Amino acid sequence: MERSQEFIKKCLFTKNFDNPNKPIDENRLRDTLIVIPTGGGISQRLKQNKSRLSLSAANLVATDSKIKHSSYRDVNKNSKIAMKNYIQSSRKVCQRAKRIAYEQKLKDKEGLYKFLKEKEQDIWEQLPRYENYLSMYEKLWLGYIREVLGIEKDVKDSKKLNMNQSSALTKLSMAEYNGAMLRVVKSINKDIIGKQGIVIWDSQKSFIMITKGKLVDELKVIPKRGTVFNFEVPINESDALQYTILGDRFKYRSSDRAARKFKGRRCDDLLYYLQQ
Amino acid sequence: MLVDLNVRWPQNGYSDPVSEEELIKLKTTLSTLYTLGYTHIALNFTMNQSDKFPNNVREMNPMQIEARFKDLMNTTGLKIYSRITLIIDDPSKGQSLSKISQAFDIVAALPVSEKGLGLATTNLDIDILTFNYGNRLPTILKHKNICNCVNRGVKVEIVYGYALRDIQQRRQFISNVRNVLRASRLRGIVVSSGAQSALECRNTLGVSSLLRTLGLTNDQCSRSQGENASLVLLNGRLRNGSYKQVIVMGSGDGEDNNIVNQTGLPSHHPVGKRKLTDTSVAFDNKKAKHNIE
Repeated sequence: MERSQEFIKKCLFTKNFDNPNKPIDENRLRDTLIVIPTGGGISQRLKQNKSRLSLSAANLVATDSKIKHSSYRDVNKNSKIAMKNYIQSSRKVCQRAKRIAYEQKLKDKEGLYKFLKEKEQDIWEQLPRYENYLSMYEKLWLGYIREVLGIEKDVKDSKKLNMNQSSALTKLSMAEYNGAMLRVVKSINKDIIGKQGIVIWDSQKSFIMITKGKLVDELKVIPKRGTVFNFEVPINESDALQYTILGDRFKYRSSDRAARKFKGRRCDDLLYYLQQ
Repeated sequence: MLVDLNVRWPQNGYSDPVSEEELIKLKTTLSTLYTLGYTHIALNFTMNQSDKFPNNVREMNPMQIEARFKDLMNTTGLKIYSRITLIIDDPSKGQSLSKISQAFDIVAALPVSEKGLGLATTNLDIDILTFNYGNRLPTILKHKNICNCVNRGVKVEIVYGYALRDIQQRRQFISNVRNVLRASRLRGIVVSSGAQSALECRNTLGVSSLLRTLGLTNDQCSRSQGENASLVLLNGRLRNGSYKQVIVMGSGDGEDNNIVNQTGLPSHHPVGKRKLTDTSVAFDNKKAKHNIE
């Protein structure tokens, strides 16, 4: 035991250490290593660089004042209030416009609009216009839905369409319907059957649509409950794929719907779908 | 809508072919039902679940309704559907329903053992639960089982054909039906004829007078032949033609204005003429002229 320790000290430690009696010096760290606070290390620095590089609205407008939503809930609530106000105001404006049309005995849209432009500038400005939203359907939604379903630009022969129906239905159940053109086919409420318009907002329990009217274009809030909607995906000039949405099974917000696993249920509440 | 969900298809398996005589007999049954006021009729093909089914989905349905009954449907306006009834004995031997249900409009289950009943009431994706009313029921039915099943959307079928055949079966039929009505608490009941010949058809009044003696109220009688039965048809249609009852193929309107009335299984593309779009909407995103005035 002692002999071997002697050997280690003589032959090995003398070669490698300054003081062979005490190979590990207690003060050895002091010369080289100094502990000081750093910038948080490489990873932190890289992260900071990245966030500086990425584009965001706050970055673009003013780099020094970073506007962060203090609470998303408030923003969401405010947007809902704004939406509600818009719907109510446009409804009121439509009513006033209709009344004017009745008083002035104007029977068509052009006449009414002309009159409003001359006499009632504020109403004319506030009226919701179907044409404004039409491009949302034509340019955005049609292209989007065709891309989702994987339909080529112009299929000449509708019989040659190559598509898996069941996967198409699955995709459609997850698709976005803001901007879609929907028509009410069946409903518990018989007054809304046949209404047709462009969806401007797909809320949880209703579709808010803008419909083309005889006198004025109107915003309509059509409940999903007890209503069957119909929409179509055109594949060429004359033909279209036709699908139907059962509003009763569709009562989810679009963001929830994307991740949702739908389940078939008892269809006693769909009796209206058979009658009429 | 007056619906009869059970007219026997004269064939016991895939091996024995349908003879011409039997077809004529079936047609007379169908026309009798038509004169009695029925509008929707389902032909019932009964099979053991453990028996062999053909692999191809197209061969699975032996009825060829479109080819054989086209004249009848066109002249009378009857709607004829295909229905398969699976006799479920041992659940372990059965094969998956998903393939079978593609070929038929309605799928029914007829459990003959306790295990089979348990499977049919809990797991199977079926439209109708039916029993062999001529024999003893497999077990004592429980409220919980049957009502769970009804809540899921499966209807319980009563076949009055058994009451018209012989006296032994009639006695059994009455006790069985009382049992089923008790267990289901009078919910989700569907009545059908199970007719093998034209003589076993009855009109609404005859059926409801029979059911009233068995303990159903008047409106439940009419509902069991009308609304509930049409819901079975709707359920079958939605299973095949929709994604989880959310998005349905087809436009849902047209001349017939009713999804159930469109005969034939919806497997093709739901292509139709464009209706929704205005004339101003161009097809391929060309700039349409907007007149914002």
